[in-house]
Amino acid sequence: MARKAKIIVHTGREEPEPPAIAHLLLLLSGVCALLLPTIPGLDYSVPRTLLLAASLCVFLWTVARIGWRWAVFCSMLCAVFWCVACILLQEELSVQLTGAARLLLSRTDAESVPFGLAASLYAVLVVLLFFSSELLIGSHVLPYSLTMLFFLLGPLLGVHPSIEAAALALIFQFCYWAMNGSGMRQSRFDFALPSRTRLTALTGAAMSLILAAVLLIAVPLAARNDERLYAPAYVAEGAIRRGVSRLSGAASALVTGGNLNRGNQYPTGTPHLVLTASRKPTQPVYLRGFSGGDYQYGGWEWNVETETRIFQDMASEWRAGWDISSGERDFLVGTIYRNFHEMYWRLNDASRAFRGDASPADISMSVQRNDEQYLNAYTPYYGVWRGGKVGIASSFDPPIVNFYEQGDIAIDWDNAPDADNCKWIEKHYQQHIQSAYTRVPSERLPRLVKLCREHPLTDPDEITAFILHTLQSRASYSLTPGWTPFNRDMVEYFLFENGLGYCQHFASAATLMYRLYGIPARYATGYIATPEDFVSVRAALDSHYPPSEESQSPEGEHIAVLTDISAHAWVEIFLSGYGWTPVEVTPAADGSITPQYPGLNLEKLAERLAEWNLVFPATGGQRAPAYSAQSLVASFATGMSRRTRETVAHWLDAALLCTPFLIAAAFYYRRRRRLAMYAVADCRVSYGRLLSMLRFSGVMTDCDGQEADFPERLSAAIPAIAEPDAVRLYRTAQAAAYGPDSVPEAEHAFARNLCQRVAESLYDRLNAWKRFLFRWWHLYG
Amino acid sequence: MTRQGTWVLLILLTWYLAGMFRTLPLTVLLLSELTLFAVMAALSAYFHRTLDAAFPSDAAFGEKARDCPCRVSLDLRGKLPVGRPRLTLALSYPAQRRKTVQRFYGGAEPGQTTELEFYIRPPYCGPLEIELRQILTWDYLFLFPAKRKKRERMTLVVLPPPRIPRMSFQSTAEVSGLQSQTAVSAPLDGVSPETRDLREYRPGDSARAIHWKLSARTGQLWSREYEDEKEERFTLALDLTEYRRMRPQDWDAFYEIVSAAILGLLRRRNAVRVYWRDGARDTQWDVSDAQSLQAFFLRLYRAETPSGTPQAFLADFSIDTNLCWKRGTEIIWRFHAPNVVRDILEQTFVI
Repeated sequence: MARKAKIIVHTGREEPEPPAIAHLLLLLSGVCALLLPTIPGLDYSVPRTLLLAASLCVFLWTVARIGWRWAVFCSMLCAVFWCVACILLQEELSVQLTGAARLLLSRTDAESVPFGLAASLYAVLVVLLFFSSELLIGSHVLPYSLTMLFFLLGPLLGVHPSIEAAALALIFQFCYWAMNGSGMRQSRFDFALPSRTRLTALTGAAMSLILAAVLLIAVPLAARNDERLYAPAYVAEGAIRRGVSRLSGAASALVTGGNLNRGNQYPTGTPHLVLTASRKPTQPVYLRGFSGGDYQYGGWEWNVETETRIFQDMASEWRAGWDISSGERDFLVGTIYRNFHEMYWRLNDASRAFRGDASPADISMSVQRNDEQYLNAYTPYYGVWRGGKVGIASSFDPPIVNFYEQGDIAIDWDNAPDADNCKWIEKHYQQHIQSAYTRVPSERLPRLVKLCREHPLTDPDEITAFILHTLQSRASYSLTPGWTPFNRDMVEYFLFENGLGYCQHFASAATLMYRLYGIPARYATGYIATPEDFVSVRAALDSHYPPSEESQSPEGEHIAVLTDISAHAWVEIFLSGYGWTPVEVTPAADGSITPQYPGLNLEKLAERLAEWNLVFPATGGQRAPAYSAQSLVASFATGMSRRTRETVAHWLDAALLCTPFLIAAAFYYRRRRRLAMYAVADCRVSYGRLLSMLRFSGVMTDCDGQEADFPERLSAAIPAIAEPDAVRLYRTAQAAAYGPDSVPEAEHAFARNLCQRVAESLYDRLNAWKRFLFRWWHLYG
Repeated sequence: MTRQGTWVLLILLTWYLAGMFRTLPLTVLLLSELTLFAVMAALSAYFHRTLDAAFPSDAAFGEKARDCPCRVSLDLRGKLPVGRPRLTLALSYPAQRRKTVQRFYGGAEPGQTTELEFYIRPPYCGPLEIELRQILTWDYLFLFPAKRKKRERMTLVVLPPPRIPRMSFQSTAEVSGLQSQTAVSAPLDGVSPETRDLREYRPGDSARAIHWKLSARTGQLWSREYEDEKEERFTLALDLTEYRRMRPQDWDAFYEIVSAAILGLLRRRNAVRVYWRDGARDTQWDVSDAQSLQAFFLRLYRAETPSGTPQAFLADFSIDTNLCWKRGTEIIWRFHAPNVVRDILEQTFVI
């Protein structure tokens, strides 16, 4: 039985062609896209690095034009040199890379890191990778992945590429994608094409035009509708995160701790607390669950250790010189601690009783948690736990706390019982917190420190006014401010770059600013219950059940159900006669911030705010635009709104980016049209072109084509043209110009063909610039 | 779908990151990706409409086991260069059940017809049908494929290599049983033969045999047929009755034997007249040289399914599909398909 044989089908091999100019331009755009974005703090010359990369690109491309084998050899040689340079300069390189990594990861902005050598080696590496991958191997996977990763993940590290770099990256990515896809290298599955390089270059040019048009639409559209475009991302993320937190039970978890959320906030509306108050509060009730100590990277530490140390020190001072046992000391610490936390309610209660006035009595309120775990209670300010327990309640029953509203606090120190001891406690506590709650990690907050130093203030009201002014002018409230890059401090990023945030950002920034001005302040989290949140229990019950004598709730009892929407963060500062007092720094819906704390002169505050007309570098705290077009537009369009100016600038940007492509397209179109016209031109036109190209090339410049010895001289000047052919052309042109009959078509074709041969011969003699003009401007060949 | 899905995922990722970091470049990237997605879909449809492919000729000749060049032309009527269209070719011999499918990528410049060459190395003789089944065009980013079914066909006429067997011819007396005589002079070698009949010109006929006057009058070529012409040629009958069980390799062996037999016989006489059954009628073809042999095979390959044995049972020789070469009823050689070439090259056939 005969063995079954296969039908073999294959394509022929084509001669490898040198790369076209399009390959070089796109390679340069890709390299520039990766080298243009700079990281602030790295000290190196961007133009020098770009020049180095561009030179290497041009060199390798030129070598590839000579021969692909030479290009492979030179690439390998460069790679070897690169490795040798890395080895020889490893000490300096490691110092620069370590510094850059530290800068990138910790983002101190304190000092610049020298990066010249590393930048040069990085540029060479990028060029070698891109050149080898795109032109030698013909694979776009690695360069595409690198640029995509760079642009998508760069913002995670706070590297924001400019719009120009993004446009260059887009052009590089998609044009090379199209060119590689159209087969820059012949594989065994490719037909042998007449001119593969020309076809790929044409594909690249077509893709460039498409991209130019796309960018022309995308850039202004993105600049104009950024918020609208971001919204679907937030909706999607919110839906996913809400769903996940509901399913995992995280939605029911109460707000504890001082960790700052680096992303968006998506409350679910899950009930967390149920408050039952003896009467309806008239002011917002801040239920504090956490008070921050030191500010650390990413959040606030619990203040337990700080407070313990303060009260231990106070206990030592209380019985200075006395020799007491540790048990007695602990008892003393507890006593002072309890007295401190109860004294403002107690003193106010006693003062009120002494005065006998008709000011409202305290509010008795139970705080019921959804998890029924009461070891960590949420405490209103100026309150006392019923039964004398502070912060420690039964783990089964909801704690009940009596508290005064801020407006009802009026302590009569002269007639209050135990006033001296209370004064001693307050005075010494104030002394201790002056150092404990004014600590700021300055090295992490260089811009904030600088801002406060540039505006030295001492008056607390002026300080508050300046803080409010800073927050209002630099930031806006948003539950979706986006992510804070991992290597950025949240407060710095919020105030100086992003300009968007929610209560955690505002409270953290204000706390740090208070501390920088020497005012003890703490970052507090918990829940806020506004008077509107409270509803009358009786009214609620009556609406559902008919009232009966046995089950009648007290007259003024009010209830409020707090969800995670009511979770909040605020600043607390220490005021004499009040203790720790909440200060609201988060803007309301209209953007205004109205802090309320005793002693704050609101009129003075308003005056100061109106008086100050501080100009900050970036209005509204938005990321400083780095586009040159914006400054150009701003210079002549002062009457335009900022938004319009930005849009016009982006249009200008897009137009500038597209101009080279449009010019190239126009040239290409003109060339095609003209060449198509010359392809059917008669012999007189061809003869005229021949004379013109001779003159342009500096050959036989003294001839006008009428001389009798013209054919002979032409043949001598252009050896590729035989004298009989030159004579034939000369006679044909003469006959066409002066002869009685028309010249046959074959003679026209002969003239065109001869003209083309002359063009090819002349082209080889010209220098690069004249070749360019010869081919693209005069369109001789 | 995978590429489109990946692209959509890329858009979603870009969208998410653009929103999370609120950066204009990423927003531009997002909008560009969205716009390009739509543009590429339109571009794919555009290429699908403007690109066409066809075989420039419906037949090509080649030799077994040698690279045979074939061409396919791509016609791009649009203004944009097309990005790497894929052509699907299916190749098969008539008796072959499973077709060989090959896919190749081409390219075409706008407004031009580009001819692309490919090579086939056929393992067997016979008519190799090449079918252009499908053109698959892509947009520049290879997101949207657009298929166009084609039914373009061409035939690669795969000829057997010219293998001339050694033949030992017996004397006239010994071959008295044969109808033809070996020692008869050629019809056109100076002796004025008597014209028996006129018939239509066939490839392979000598130019001197053409009746020019009649041809000029009728506008059609006519050849003279001489009385003694038939004695100057061998006759060979091909018995294709058992074609049904023939596989490509069996046909290959059959064609090899036929080719070798004809070439061998042509060494002895000027022509070989071959008879075979084409459908319901007998067909004959005179082979006198390589060109007419090529034409003969082309005609033979296009023969319809035979019904019945050829009527020319009185032919000098016959070859049947059992690979049996006979002289009259006497078997000259019974070939075995795998050893056909070896036998042709090594054996001496006694005629």
